[in-house]
Amino acid sequence: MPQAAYATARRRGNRVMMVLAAATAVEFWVGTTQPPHVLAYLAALAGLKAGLIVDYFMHLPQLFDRDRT
Amino acid sequence: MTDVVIAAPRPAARLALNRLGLWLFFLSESMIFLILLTTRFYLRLERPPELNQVLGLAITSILLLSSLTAFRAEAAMAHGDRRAFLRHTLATMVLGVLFLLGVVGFEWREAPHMGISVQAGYGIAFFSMTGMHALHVLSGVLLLLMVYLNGRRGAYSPASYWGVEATVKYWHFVDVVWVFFYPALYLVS
Repeated sequence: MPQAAYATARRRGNRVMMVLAAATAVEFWVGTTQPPHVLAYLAALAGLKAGLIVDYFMHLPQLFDRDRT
Repeated sequence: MTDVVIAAPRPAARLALNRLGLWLFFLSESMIFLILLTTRFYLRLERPPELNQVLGLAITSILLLSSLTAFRAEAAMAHGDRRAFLRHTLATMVLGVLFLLGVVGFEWREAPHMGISVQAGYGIAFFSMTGMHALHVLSGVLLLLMVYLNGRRGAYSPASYWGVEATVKYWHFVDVVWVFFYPALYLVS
């Protein structure tokens, strides 16, 4: 069971990384093409990336759930 | 006279307090970075078009990848895989050093040739933001080195690895800061 949990954690890390990489690629495309409202797009993408890191990598929900270790 | 005995907090309660303290530290650190970010937009500084976009993307990718290796290092320690923990911690340090070389070694050296001066305009924001961030990356690499050496001595176990958790969280925090700095410096014109 612990091995299964370990494998699940690694898979989750990979999935989050793929989304982060895709969001960065879109960011780069937006930055180089400079469409209208570029700041709004970039802010939304940065917010998405920061949210993923804080939630999945930094485990923010742990702070509000004493039972989780 | 009555002796007052203060009981030490239980391990779970102590861990919760440690985590709360660490997040409060992140909150206070965020203020420094938020001020730098706000200044960059408040002054409406013009980004030089010659700024090396490929290098910006490369160093961003390196830092993002280091977050994955840091996450894997923590997960490995949490599940008792000490060899994987050491391997991923070492990989995170190497990626951190590569990021520093990219920013301080290449970007800072190229900047004056692109008209970015530390004394005026965009250069003030560029050097203060990348400099403050690089200082945090450097401290993160040093913390990772301490954790790596402690890990080699067998100082951590799946039941007790707060040092690893705190250092990895700090590393992710530094990554989150760059998530906002990268578009502000390289992509917004």
